[in-house]
Amino acid sequence: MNRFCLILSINRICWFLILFLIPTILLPQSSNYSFNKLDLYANLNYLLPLLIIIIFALWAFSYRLEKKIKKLVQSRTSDRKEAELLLMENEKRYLKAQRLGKVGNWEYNIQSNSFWASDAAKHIFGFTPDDSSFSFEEVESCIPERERVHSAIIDLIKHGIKYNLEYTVLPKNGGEPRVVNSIGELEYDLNGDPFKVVGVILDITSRKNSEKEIQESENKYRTLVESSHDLIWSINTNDIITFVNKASKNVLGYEPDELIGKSFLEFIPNQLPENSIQPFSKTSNNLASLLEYDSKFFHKDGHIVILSTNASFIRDEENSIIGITGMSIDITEQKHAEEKLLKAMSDLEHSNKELEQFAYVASHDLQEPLRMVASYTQLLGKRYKDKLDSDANDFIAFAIDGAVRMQTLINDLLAFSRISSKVKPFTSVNLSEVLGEALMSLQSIIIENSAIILNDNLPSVLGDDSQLTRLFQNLIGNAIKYRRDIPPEIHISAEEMKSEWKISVQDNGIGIEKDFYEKIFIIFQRLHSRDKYPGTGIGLAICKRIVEMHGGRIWLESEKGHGSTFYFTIPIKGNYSNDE
Amino acid sequence: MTNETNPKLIDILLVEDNKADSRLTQEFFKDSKIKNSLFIVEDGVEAINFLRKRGKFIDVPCPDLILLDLNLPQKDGREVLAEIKADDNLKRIPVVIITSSKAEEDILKSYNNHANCFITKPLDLNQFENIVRSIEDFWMTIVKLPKNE
Repeated sequence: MNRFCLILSINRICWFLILFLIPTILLPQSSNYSFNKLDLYANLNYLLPLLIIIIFALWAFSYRLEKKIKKLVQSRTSDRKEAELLLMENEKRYLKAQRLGKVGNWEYNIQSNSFWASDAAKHIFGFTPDDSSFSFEEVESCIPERERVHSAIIDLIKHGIKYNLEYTVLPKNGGEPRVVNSIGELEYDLNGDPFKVVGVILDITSRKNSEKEIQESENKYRTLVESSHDLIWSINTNDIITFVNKASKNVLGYEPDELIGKSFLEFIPNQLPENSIQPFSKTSNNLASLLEYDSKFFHKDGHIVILSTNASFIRDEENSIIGITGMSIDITEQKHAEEKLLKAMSDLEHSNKELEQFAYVASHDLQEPLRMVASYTQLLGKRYKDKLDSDANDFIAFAIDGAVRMQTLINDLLAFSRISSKVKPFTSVNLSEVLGEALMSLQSIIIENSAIILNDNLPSVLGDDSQLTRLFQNLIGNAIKYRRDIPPEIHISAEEMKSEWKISVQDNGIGIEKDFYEKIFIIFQRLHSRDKYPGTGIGLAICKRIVEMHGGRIWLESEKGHGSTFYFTIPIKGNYSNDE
Repeated sequence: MTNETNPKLIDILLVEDNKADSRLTQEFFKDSKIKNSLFIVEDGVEAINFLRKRGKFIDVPCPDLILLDLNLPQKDGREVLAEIKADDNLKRIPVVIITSSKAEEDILKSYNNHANCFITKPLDLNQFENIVRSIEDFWMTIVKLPKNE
């Protein structure tokens, strides 16, 4: 550029000289050579135009030259400016890259003990770009493990050991601790001596955090899987077991190592249940997305373990199946318990049938000889009445009474056993109708005792009509039987409770002491002598059984000498838990 | 009833395995005011043979009334009843089931098989006698039955 300026200056000076010299050349000539004035004028006339032409030509040439030079200078200047702009732009890009990448660079001059760091590097350590306090010592103060870092740099400088460290930085500005990766290398001077360490520093905090999170999550799931008592496993598409947790030892008797790498088909019976995992080679085309099934597996000691499995497919990034993973619960015990329960139920059914058979045999075969005893004793008494003495007549009477009682007992016992062994399906039963039936069958004793029976409207319930008839028969029969010397008054009513009907049978009879409230429901339990109140003591036991069969309860309230009230409940229709 | 002057002899077949029981029945029919002859067989097979006049029963009359126990050896009363009521020659003979069973099932089955009535043997002797008298009254005098062939 300076050269161009010089040329321009010279050009101007030349012009000045030419314009100034021409008159001086011409004027002294005229004074010195006046005698030759004519010649001079003649020459002048000849030279002047020539001179003017020369001067003009020179001027034109120099003008063009100057213009060209200016243009050249101008273009050189803009090139430089462009270059400067580009440089600035690159600088910006570089800074931005450092900021975004959280990468900074630094230099440590060994000889001058000076330290330089890029803005991004300063930022990592918590300094602003123009922080005046920035120094090597300040930076070191941000590093809790400064000794390790220091000795690594010394190792690099003295022994040329590679410098590549991860350490924690507590930023100067009090920001969150950061994890950095610092890498450095040596630069040598012309003598081959190290004079500078140049390096980069990377902020790897977020990477470290996510690595930590992944590690924690991995640990969490690994612990879950390993501590699970249930079997967790995976297989690949060649039916090979690729993973199994430690539960395999407990559940199957095998250590995980004994299973991993083997085909699961080796451990299962030939017949696979239809909905279970089939060998991949056979059914890979029609696999469902999720499998839930029970299957069998051979335990190491040879017995069969029943597993309840829940499995799903493992897919790769292209969504194609690469295996199956699942969880299996040992339900062997449960299955055995189920089988036992089923067997117990069928045994129970069987024994119920036998009981029914027994009841029938009892009703016929036990009564047959009894009837003979009674009939022939009676016949004896009848035919030989006049030939026997009064003692003989008494004995015959006792024998007959015993036989009759025995038969009543057998009949009652049968009735009691039939309540539970002969259950009809429950139907809707109108209790008022059932009560009517019961009163009909009690007609003779009602009339005999001049009993007054009152009843409210009774509801319909779900039940067995003949059993419910019997229930009323027994309760009302008792109410009449255990009367005082006034005519029996019996009141039957119903009250709607939350989920059940409460039916009451109230009498004005002899009443029952509180001590016996529970006892009277026990089979063959009697409170009175047979002479006073005949009976087998089974009536209320039957009542209790009937009420319980209907899902209700029975109890009583009483005042000795004033009367008793028997209560029983029956669920309101639709509240049955078992609809038999 | 139509010829009171020459009362007809009534033939009754009692099917009963229990000797004590059949004897008791026999005792009561002995005292009957209606002339009758009581034939006693002890099991179901014999009962059918009697009714079909087979073997040793070739000369027996066709009974006017059958008293049938349900629990019998070999062929029990239920089968005998079904067989009688399925036989065109026998089905018109009234069959009185007289048994110690009180089972609902037996009662229902008997009537379903067209038994003419079902009686449970009572324990009391007097009641038993009453029953026998009732059978006499009802089946032997009151009821009009078709004539046997």
